[in-house]
Amino acid sequence: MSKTDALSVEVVKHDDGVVVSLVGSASMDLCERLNAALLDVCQTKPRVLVIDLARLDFICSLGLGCIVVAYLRVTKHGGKLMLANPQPTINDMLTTTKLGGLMPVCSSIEEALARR
Amino acid sequence: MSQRDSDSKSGDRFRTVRVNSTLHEAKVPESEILVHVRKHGFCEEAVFAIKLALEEAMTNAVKHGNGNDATKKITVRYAVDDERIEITVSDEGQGFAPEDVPDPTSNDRLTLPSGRGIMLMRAYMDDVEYRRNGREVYLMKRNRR
Repeated sequence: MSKTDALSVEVVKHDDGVVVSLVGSASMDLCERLNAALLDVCQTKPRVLVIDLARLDFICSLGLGCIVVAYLRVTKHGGKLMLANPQPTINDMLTTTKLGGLMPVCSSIEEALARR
Repeated sequence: MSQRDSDSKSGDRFRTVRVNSTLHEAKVPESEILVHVRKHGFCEEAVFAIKLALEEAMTNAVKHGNGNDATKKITVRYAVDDERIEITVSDEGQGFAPEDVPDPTSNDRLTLPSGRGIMLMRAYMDDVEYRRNGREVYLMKRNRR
């Protein structure tokens, strides 16, 4: 885990869907930006939205809430949201909160896109 | 602006940091506390847990306790040694009854925002207690070196 917090959101459009990679730390003071970035993606009504967590080393409950809101927006339009590559600490949080049961957790972006 | 006090002269081992009630200022004590827990040899897993619990306590203080009123204050007191860290986070709100917060992991509440922070604090710390009618939360984590 890094000693200073920063968060970047990278968006890549694929033929099969959109991949959003979260990089850094989704801490409480950065979640407003995360929410705005995910809202922008959701407004394109993707059929598949994959959130790549491979380079996310921290997330708080507000950040998890942003992902849940994105899940609700995507599924409302008949799309799917999947999580990919969580680090062990983040994966443990998904288990603890049971959000891993709400949103499928895949071991790679390719696997997530293939499950559309 | 944050204010710091060290009570070591009076024999109180707790340090005090008081900040304005915003999510940005709420990060100030976190940075300071994590430096201390690393100095005392807490493992990275424990550092993650302490950071998480502190963020949840501060978020609750800003949003629910102080009602997003930036003129109110949050007071953080902490003591850390080689054995454990103890933290209290106090707000200036009306308090609440933590036992009335529903389980956020029940199937019908998974997509709702409330209660997840309290649940995470309890899952990641060794002791969590609400005091002063819910206006103060006490967090403790042991150092398992």
